Amino acid sequence: MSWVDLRVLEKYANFSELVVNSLGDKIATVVEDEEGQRFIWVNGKTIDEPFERVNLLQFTPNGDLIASVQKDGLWTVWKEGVLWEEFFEYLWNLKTDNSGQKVLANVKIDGNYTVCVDGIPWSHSFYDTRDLFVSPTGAKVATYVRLENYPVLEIFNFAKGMWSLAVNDVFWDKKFLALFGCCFSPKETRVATAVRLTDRSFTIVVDNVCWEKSFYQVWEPRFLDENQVVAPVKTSRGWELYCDGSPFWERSFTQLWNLKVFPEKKMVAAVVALELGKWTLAVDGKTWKPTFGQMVLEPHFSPDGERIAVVVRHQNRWGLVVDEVCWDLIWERIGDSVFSPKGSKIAAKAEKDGGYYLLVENKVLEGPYTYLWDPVFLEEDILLIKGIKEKSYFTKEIKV
Amino acid sequence: MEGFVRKPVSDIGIDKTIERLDQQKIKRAIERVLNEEVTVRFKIFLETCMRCGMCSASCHHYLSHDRDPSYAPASKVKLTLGDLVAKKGKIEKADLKRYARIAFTECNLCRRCTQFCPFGIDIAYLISLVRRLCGVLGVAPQFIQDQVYSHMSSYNMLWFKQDEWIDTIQWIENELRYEIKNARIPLGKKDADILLLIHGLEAKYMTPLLSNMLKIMLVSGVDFTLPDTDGWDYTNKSLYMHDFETMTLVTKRHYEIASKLRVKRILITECGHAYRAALYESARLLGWKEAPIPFIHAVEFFYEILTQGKIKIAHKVKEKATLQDPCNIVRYRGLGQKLRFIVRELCEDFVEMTPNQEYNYCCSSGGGMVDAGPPWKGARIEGGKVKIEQIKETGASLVIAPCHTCHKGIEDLIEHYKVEAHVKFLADLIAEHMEIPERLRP
Ligand code: SF4
Ligand code: SF4
Repeated sequence: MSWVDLRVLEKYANFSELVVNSLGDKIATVVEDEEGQRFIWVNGKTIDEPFERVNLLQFTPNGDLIASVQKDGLWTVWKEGVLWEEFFEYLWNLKTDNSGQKVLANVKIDGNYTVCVDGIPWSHSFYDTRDLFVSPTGAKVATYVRLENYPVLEIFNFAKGMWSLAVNDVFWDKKFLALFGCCFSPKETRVATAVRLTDRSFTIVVDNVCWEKSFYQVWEPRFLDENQVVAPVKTSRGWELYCDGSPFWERSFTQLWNLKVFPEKKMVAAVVALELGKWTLAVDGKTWKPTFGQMVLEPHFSPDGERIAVVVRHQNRWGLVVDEVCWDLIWERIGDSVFSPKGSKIAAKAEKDGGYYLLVENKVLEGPYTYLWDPVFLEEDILLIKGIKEKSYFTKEIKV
Repeated sequence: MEGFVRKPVSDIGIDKTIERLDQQKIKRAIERVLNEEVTVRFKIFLETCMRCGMCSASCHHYLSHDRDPSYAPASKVKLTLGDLVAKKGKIEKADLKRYARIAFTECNLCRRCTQFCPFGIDIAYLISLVRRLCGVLGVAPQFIQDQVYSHMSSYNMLWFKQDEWIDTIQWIENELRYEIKNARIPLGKKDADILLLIHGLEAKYMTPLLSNMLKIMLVSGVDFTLPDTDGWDYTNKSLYMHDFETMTLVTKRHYEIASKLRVKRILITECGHAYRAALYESARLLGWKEAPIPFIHAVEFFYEILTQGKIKIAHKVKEKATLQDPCNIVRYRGLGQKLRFIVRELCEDFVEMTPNQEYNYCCSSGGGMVDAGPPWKGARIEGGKVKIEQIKETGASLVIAPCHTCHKGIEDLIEHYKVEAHVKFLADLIAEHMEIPERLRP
C-alpha cells in the first residue's frame, strides 16, 4: 500500500488531471505557479524545468512519463526528462506503441502537417493530418492526410476527394472524400480503412485497394486474420457484416458496429440493434438474448477468448454484461471490464451517488472512494486498486 | 409551373449540380428515397390533405409574401412531392430545380403549420423528404454543401484542423484568466460529469461567446470537459440536406466521445437544429429511440444552475427585452417555460412577442436558410417580414435569441428593416450579469 498526500496540490495556482502508471507507484500531474509556469509533478514533487504549457501528460505502458511541452512558443515531446531535439509549431495526438517504446505524434512544421516518430519527422508533409494510428509493436504508423488544398466553397473539387492515408511516410495515391476507422492486421503487415468514395457511396480499402463493391454506408472495418477484413456495410437490407466485399453473416440489422475480433479463433463480436432501441451483442452472427434500450459499448474478449464482456446502458443506468448474464444495471457510470490473466475473473470500477466502488464478478468489494482508476490484476487472484480517498492517493492489493 | 413565379437566383450547388445529372441518376434517387427509405406516413399525409387551406395563414412565408398561395404549406407540398407523384417520378430538371428552391429556401421546417392542420399533416416532414431526394443527388445550396464536405472529413463545419481546436481552447483559457482567477478548461477529461460541445463558429469567429459560456461553466463549478479531438462541433449541418450518412457519422462521433470519456451528460450551447438532430433525427437513424446519453441544451443547463443557486444574477438587464422562441427547442422540444424562467431572472422589463412559445413564428432563417449563404439572404429577409413586425410591436430594444440561427437571422432582419434593436444570446447576458464570487476574481 502506498500513499501520496494530494492536499499539497492545493498550494499551486492550478493543477490538471491526475494520471497514474499501471503499477500504481507513480501519480503525476501538471502544476502551475502564480506566474503561469507549468511543471510536471510526480509523487508530491515537481521535476525538471518549467514549461509554458504541458499537454497530454501520460504514462506509457512500460511506465515512462511522457508529455507534449511548449518552450519559447514551440512544442516538443518530453520523455522522462529528455526532450526531442526538434521543436514544432504544434504537436498533438501523442501516442506510443503497446510496449511504450516508440513515441509518436502529429506535428506542424512551417504551416504543414506530418508525423514525428521518436523525434524524427517523416519526410513528407501535408496540408492537414488528422488522427494517428499505431500498430501493436509500432511497426506501422498511419495518419489521414489531406493531399489537396482547394479553397472553401469549391464543392465540385471537394467532390473529387482530397483525403488519403499515409503509412510509415508513404501516402496512398487514391483520394477520397473522407476516411475513418483505420486499423492494422494482427501481424501488422496490412492496413485497412473505411472510405467515402462519393457523396453517397462508401467502401473499404485494404492496402490502397478498394473492395469491388460500394455501399450506402460503412462503419469501421477490422481484420479477421492477416488477410481477411470484415466491416459493417449498409445495403438495401439494412446493416450487414461483410468480409472482403461479400456477405459474411446471414442476417441484417437495424444497426451494426463496434466490431471486435479475437484473431486466434477468428471470432467476431459486434454491437447490433435488432430494432429501434433494442441493442445487444452478436457473436459470430448469433445474437445474445438480453437486449438493452440505450447503449452497448465495444465488447471485450478475455485473454483466452472464452468470455466476452460489454458495458451496457439501460433505463438510464450502466452495468456490465458478461456472456449474456447481466450484472446489476444500477450504476451512474462504469469502467471497462478488466480480465484476470487467465480470464477467470472480471473486475471493474463503478460509480454511484458520487462514490466509486470496485466490482469483482458483480460483487462490490471496495468503496465508496472519491475516485478509482481501472483496477489491475497482478495475478489471477490478486487485484491492485488505485484510488483517491480523503484527498490522498492510495494503492492497495486485495485477494479476490 | 403555373402560379409559381420567382425572381431568378443562381446557386451553383443547385443549378450546376442539376445540369450535370442524367435522367437515370434522378430515377434511381427517386426510387431509393420513395421506395426504400420512406415510411407509409408519406403516402397517408399526401392522400389525407383536403386542400382546406387552414394551414396557409400559419406560415410566415405565406404571410410575408402578401398571401401568395404558392407559399402556402400545402401548395409547397403540391408543387414538390405532389408533382413528383403525379408525374410518376418522370420529372424534368426544371422540376427538380423548383423542388430544391422550395425545399431549401421557402420552408424552414419549423412545423408551425402542423398545429393548424385538422389532420396534423407534418408538412416539414414532407418537405424534408424533398430535401433528402435533392441531397441524395447532391443538389443543395453551395454554402450548405461546403459545410457538409467539411463535416464529412473533419467533423466540424469550417475545416478546422485538430491542432487549431486545442490551440484555440488554450488561448481562450489564457484570455479567461483576466476575468476568472486561474481559469482552466479541461480537454478530454475522463469521468467528467458534463461533455460540452460547441458551435463551430464559436471556435473561430465568435470566441467571445464561447468565452462567456466557459465563464458560466467555471463559475457554476460543474465538472466538465470539452473533447480533445474531432467531434467538438455539434452543428451537424448535414441535417439541412438530409445527408443521413454525414448526419449519422457526426452524431455517432458525439455519443462515442461521451461514452469513451464516461461523462454523464452532453451539453450544447445555444443552437436549435443540432439539438433536434442529436435527440431525434440522427439518433433514430442510428437505431436509438432517443438520446442514449442525456443530451441537454444550454437553456436546460442555465435553468438548472440558476434554480440550484450555482450562479446568481448580480444585476438585471434594464432595457426592454423580448424573446425569440427557437422552433427546434420550443415547438419541437417544449423548453418554453424554462426559457422564460431564465429570461425573467435576467430581465427587469420582459415583454412577450405575440404569438409566442409553440405558436411563435420562425425567424425565417431556420432549417438551413441562413446556412444557404448570400444568394438566399433575400429569401429569408422577405420571409421574415412577419417576424420583424412581431418584434416591432413589442417595442423592445433587446431581442434574446438562444439559437445561433435565430440570432443571425434576426440580426439581419433588424438591419434590413432598420429597427432600433439588438440581439443577444443568453450566455452573453448571463456572463455579463452574473455574480463572480470573490474567490474567482483575479
Ligand atoms: S416554413 Fe414552417 S409554417 Fe411554413 S410550410 Fe414550412 S414548416 Fe410550415
Ligand atoms: S390544413 Fe392540412 S389538410 Fe388543410 S391544406 Fe393544410 S395540410 Fe392540407
